[in-house]
Formats: sequence, C-alpha cells, structure tokens
Amino acid sequence: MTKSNHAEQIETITSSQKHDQSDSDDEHIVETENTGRRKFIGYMLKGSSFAVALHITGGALRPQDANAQLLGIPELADELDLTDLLLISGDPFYYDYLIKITSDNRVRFELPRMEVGQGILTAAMMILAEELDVEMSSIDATLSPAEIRRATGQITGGSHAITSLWDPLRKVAAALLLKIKLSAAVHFGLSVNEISTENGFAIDNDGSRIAYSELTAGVEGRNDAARLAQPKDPSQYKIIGTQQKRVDARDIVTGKLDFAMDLDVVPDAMPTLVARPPSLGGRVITFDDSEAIGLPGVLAIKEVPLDVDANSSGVAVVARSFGEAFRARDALNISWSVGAAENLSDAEVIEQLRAINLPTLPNIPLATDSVGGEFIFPYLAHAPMETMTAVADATGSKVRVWTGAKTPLAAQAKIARDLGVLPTDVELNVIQSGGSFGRRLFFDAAVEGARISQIVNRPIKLMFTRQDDTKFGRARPLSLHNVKATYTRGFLIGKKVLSFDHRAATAELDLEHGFGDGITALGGELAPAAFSQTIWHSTQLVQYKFGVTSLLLNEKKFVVPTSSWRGIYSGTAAVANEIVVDELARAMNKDEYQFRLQMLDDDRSKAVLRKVSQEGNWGRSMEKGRAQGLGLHKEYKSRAAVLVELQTFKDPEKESKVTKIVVALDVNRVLNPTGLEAQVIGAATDAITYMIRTSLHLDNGAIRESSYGDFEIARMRNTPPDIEVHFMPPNGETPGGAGELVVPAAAAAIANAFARATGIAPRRFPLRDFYPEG
Amino acid sequence: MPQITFNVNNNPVSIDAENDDELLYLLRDRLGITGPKYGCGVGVCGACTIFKDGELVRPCIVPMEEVEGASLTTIEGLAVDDILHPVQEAWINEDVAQCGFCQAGQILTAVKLLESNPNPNEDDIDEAMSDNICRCGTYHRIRKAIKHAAALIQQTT
Repeated sequence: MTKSNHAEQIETITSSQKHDQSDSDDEHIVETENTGRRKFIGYMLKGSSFAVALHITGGALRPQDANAQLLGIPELADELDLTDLLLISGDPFYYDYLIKITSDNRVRFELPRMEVGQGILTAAMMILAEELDVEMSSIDATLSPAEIRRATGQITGGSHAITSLWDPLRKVAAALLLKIKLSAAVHFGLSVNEISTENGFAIDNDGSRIAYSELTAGVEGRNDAARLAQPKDPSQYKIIGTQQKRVDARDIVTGKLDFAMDLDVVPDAMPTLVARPPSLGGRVITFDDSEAIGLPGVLAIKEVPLDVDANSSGVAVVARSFGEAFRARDALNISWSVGAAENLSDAEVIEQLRAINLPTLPNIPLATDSVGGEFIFPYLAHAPMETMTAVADATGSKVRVWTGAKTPLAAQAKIARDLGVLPTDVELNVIQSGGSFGRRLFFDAAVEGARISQIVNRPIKLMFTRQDDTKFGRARPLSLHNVKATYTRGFLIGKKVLSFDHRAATAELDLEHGFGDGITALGGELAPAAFSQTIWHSTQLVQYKFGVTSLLLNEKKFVVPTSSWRGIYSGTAAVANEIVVDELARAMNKDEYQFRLQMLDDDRSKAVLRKVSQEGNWGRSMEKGRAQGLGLHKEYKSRAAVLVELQTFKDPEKESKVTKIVVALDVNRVLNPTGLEAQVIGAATDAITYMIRTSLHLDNGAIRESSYGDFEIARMRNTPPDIEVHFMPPNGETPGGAGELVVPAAAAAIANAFARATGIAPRRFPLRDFYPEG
Repeated sequence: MPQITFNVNNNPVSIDAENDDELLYLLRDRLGITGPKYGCGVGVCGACTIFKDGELVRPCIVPMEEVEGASLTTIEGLAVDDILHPVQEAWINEDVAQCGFCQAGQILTAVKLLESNPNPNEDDIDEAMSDNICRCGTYHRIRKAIKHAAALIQQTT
C-alpha cells in the first residue's frame, strides 16, 4: 500500500498502540497498524456531523499546516480516499491466493476478483508470471468463487483491483518462489544463492534443471507470512510493463469463451424469463396462464416470491428455449397494481432535488463576482452487452449459482437471507461477464434466479431481457449540481479566486453491495445515507488553489433502482467542476490551459496537463464551429488529462462529433500498456455516449427507453480514428487505479470543447437533446 | 411433427419445428451453439450476427422456418481446422476485445465487409460497422484490426 504522507500521519495517531505491542513480531504490527487505522476511520465515519469530523481530520492530519483550516475545509479525499478505504478494509484478507503447481508443471491460479472485460485477469497473471518465473502460457487461471473467509478482500470496483493485488500477489508469489528455491537447494545440495529459476524450472550452477512440480505443490489459503517476502526489483521486470494481449483473446475470437448463459454446468437448467410490470414498483395482483402453459416447450409458470425485503418482481416462465419462454411470457394475462410513483417523471425528480439542495455561499455585493450554475445529469443505463444473468439450482441441499458478481459475498449473503439458509449453504461461482460499468456491483439475477429455482423446484438459467435491463435498471442516479466559483472583481489588484462551492443533490445511490460491507467493516453499522456521504467525501476534491472550497451532497430516494456508474459521483460532479474551471479561466481573462497550470496544487496533474497540451497542440487555430477542450481528473492515486477536438453543427439533425482525443495518464506504474490503453479508450467512448448522445427518461413512473435502439450508446461512426494515449513513466509508487479515471476527464473535455466552439454554457446532458443547434 | 433441415458450420441438422422459435434460440438453447449472443433480441445490436447462405443475418429476428435448406456459419465455424481467419488473427494482434460479448458479431460483419471491399477506407468502415454495438468501446481497435486484416488478406492472395 502506498505510504503517502497522510498515511504516516494516521499511523502516528496509532503509535501508542504499536508501542504497547513492541514485543510482537512484524506480522502482528501490520495487523495492529490496520486495526488502529480502522478504529480511527470508524471514529471519523460515526462522528455525529460529518463536516465536524472533516474538520478534526484536517486539523489532526496536518498540524504543521496552520493555514490549512483558515483556507477552508480540506476535502477528505485529499487525505484518505475511497481507494484507501477499500484497501484498509480488504488488506487483512488479501494475502490469500490459490497458486497450485500441477503434476504437469503448470500453474493453477484463482483470482479473487471479477473479470468483466477490464483485463485484470491478464494483469494478475502478468504479476504472477513475473514473480514466479513462469510463462504466462503455463498459467491456467479462473475466478474464485465466493469464499466467506475473504470477507472484504473479494470486492471488484472503485478501480482498486490492480492497486489491491500489487503487493499481496507479488509477495505471495515471491514467497512461493523462495520456497521453491530452498527445496531446489536441498535437492542439488547447494546454497539457495546458487539456484536460479526460469520458465517453471529451478536451475543449479551447472545448468541442471528440476521442474517446480518436483519441488512444491504450491500455496493455498491464508498466508500472512508472505507480507515479509521480498518481491523482485522493478529493474528485473521482463513481463510487467510490457504489452500483453488478453489471455482469452483467442477464445473470444473463436466463440469459445463461455458466459453464464453458455455454461453447461447444470445440464437440465432451463431458460427462464420474468414478466415484469409496466411501471416501476408495480406488483402482480392476479395472473392467468391458461393461454401460455400449453405452448410448445413451456415447463413452468410461477409468480416470483417476494424477496426478504418484500420487493416483488413478476411472473417467471421456464421453457425449453428462450424463444419459447418469450412467447409464453407474452401470452400471460397479468393484472398489475400501479407502481407507487405513477406520476413521477424527470421534471418532478429535478424539482424535488432542487428543493433539498443545500445553498451555495452568497456573493459579497460589489466586491465579488461568480461563475457557475446548475448542472443536471440524467438517469443513465449501464447497458452492458451481456444483460444480468444467472444459472441457479436451489433444488438440492446446497443452493448453487453461477453468475457475474463483483461483490460475490454480498450476493451469497443476500441469496441466503432470501431463501432462509445459511451463507455456507450457498455456493456462488463467479463467471466472467460481458461488461459491467458498475452494473454488476449488484447481483439481481442471481438473487431472483435462486428464488425462482426454489419455487419451480428445478435448475434454471435466468436472463434479463435487454428491455428488463433498460427499464428496470439499475441506473446512474439523476443528479443536480449547483457549482459556484467566486472571485474578486479586481479594481486595483488582479482578480483573485476566493471560493469554490459544489452542492450536489442526487437521487439516492444504492451502495448496499460490497462497498457498503467494506465501509461497514471500518465504521460499524451505517445508515444508507452515511454510505453515500462516505463515498462522496472520499472521492470528491478540487485540485486547484481556489481558496475556500466546500463540496456537499444531499440525496433523496426515488423509485428508479440505482447503482454506481463508471466513475461513481465523479462521472457527474467532477465534470461539472471542470466545466466551471473553464468558465472561471475565461472570467479572469486567462487561457484555460494556462489558468489550470497556474492554479493546480498537484505536480502530477500539471505534468499530464502539459503532456496533452504538447501532444495535442493546444491552442491551434480551428475552423468555425470546431474547438479543443480540456479536462482533468485526480482519483484512485492516479491522474488524467484529456484534450479533445470537437466539431459542432448548427443543423439540429447533426450531433457534435469528437474528431480527436489525446489522453495523458499518470498511474504510478503501468502493468500492461495495451490493457490500460483499452480501458482509456473505452472510458473516453463512455464520455461520448453520455455527454453527447443518450440518457434514460423517467416518464410517469416508468423508464421510457427499452433497448439500444432508443438508448443510443456510441457507435463506430461516433468514435474518432485519431486517439492518442500517453503514459507517464513509473515513479516508484504502487500502481494506481485507472478503469474509471478517464471518464470524468474526457466528459469534461467534451463539454469544454462544446462551450468553446459554440459559446453555449453546457448545463444539461446529453448535449444533442438540450442544445440541438450547437 | 414437422422437421427443419439445414446445415450449420458444415454439419447437417434436422430438428422438430413444433414451435416458431427465432433462429438464435434454436441455435443456442436446442443445438448448444453459443457463439452467437443475445444482446437485444430485436436486431439492433448485432451480437448474434451469423452468415446465412453467405449473407449476414441477425438470428434473433430470423424465424426458424426461414432456414430450411440453408447453410449457416457461426463464429465457431469461421476458423478452418483451427487455422484462424485473417480477421480473427487481426483481432488477436490488435487486442481488440474487452469483455468479448459482441465480438463474434463484429468479426463476422468485418469478414463480410472485406469480402465485398478488400481495401475499405474510414467511411466504408463507419458505414459497415456502425450497426454493431460494442459497449466496451473497442471501435478504435476494430478499425485498426480491419485494416490489419485487409493487409493480411492481400498478402495471401
């Protein structure tokens, strides 16, 4: 884990505890440090007022910086961010891998994370191959099933996968390699220093070789002693930092990669669909299946039982094929109760959010002026290509489920609660999935599938239709942001920025998945609102010297089910901030690039900004209607800068087109440049989707969109051929996160280019809906 | 019971046609050919794309009776005896895939493009590929891979 200054400060607070246990071994001290940090964070989270806790935090953490409190409340994320929270809660469980050396001298490895296309399986195999001196092609890797002992160490999300694998996987592999060398030393009758290793063999100084499989069976289970292992020096790396293609690339292009619905794990698991209500929250009153039950292939039709929280879903249809299930579903005659929010539409949600939003600081009359305004980001579907799916068999003594879950232990626990069994009686197998973007933090199909399997008493394959996935969520919550930057008018001296306020009011973000567990593990039981506040304050910051800054969140629950969308709050809030940074620069008669460079309080951000400016030729003259735009983002221990070029059209039939994207990234160390570049380009494409093209609409209690036909994500013609991605060189620190990093920066760059091309201040998105003539 | 007979990836198939399933569900749920994926079920995403008698179709909207006597090729049948098609080679070389769910449809669509236009420019690629959705945003690399595949095909002919 990165030991930055603030981490050392936190440890100072716990030093008396460390002192008391000075006779314990190193391993114990590691535990104690964590316990101390966890207590401290728990105290912070449970403070009666979060703002007060923040103040204490600022003071406690930076006693040497007396001006800090006068300048404003430091953002929590500057001191302790979500990556830290996830790492601290997960760390006690990280030194636990299955790495078996098989009799044919191959390596069997289980990754206790989720692969959804982001490439972490490939990256983890690179770390393992590097530290164990084996070839990538000799590793057979799968995803770990839910394993209760992993607790908060089996969560994938918040872009912390690589950061959280880096030390533990390197060290466990290094400890195994040392064990192999020691065995080889005994075998050859030499000292361990005379043994080298290569491609799965230990070699003595005469070149005699012995396979690893002759020396060890590998490791399995918790292995905290490995914390003391010494991984390789980066100067020796042969694999880490090199271009490695996806390990499943060949299986993908030949159609061999199996997703959950392709599995043949339970041969008689039958295709299952659910008939869902016409509006959100609607319930089955009665249903008549007489026209459906006799159709070809139909095996069972049952109302889905309410879940343990009394949520209803609809009527399940099991058939021999999904086509037959579709037809039977459509032949059902169901009488639905109207959802609780039958008259609720986007406009009312916006109005209610506006009513709960906290006020920004007032201007001082005559002396100060301000820029900014109200930004609104709509509901947004995650829309992964593979909808929510699960194979479920609740017919035996153990409930068995195969599904894509980024928080498999939360899924296992929820299934157990729903079915009234112990979590240990639920076998939850994690299956590589077709995309997530935040959607698979939740495991709705797995939970519903287990209930259906139980009620129809047969194994099933539950698939959400695309329409289910679009209409019933989950979605990125609609959010409203009031952003205001104040500056002196500068009668005698120059203009000076005095304050930066962000007041967000969002539809409540459902965080009661594994993130919640991770945070609860630190802070004790928290109400849902405290989850949100914790995520907000541990992710949101302003990285500019803007005087007094305050970023506050208020939330309200509505009927649309929600889940974090790639970037969590940053995909909206940080974008609004960067738009206002551009407006502030112009208000102060400064160039947007120069102004950022002057005001940034972060050297790594300055470096990536300079990089995109140079590589993207910032300030070059453009034809009328075209412009460049900049966006920055700092999160996950990483930094991103994006420069885009945008072409806008007066013709309302034509939408703005991104013609070039230049990205510079500082992630401390790049493991796999080709994998990271793919994430960057994907994130930039996401930004095109939600800033320019599409959204969901809540319309009288139901989502209006139903498929890719009306939820129009970016396509080939919306993606520029000209995309450049630049990485900063390694700086010795633990690799930072990057899966979400570029989303806010690219989104801001698009909005800023739009403003510079058209003179329109973008406030609502997608741009093509709200500014058709721009 | 009526039977439908057709050929898929060079294997003859004869199956009862008591229902009126779309071809996708016949392939996936009754024949176990899972390369074509369900992405939308209404023909707008392209994840299930296959060849039917040399033309691209979206089997989620093709009624099964339309395949009587037809010859089908799915992604599983594109490589010949484990020798990959140049488009598959290019897809691996450019490391196109992320989650991979849409790629069978992308690859077969690119195969068709290169059959009809061995040297496509940017606009040709936009035109041919814009009806296939990739939620991960691999379009940039798909574009590179199509050009790469075009060069591979030209080398071998």
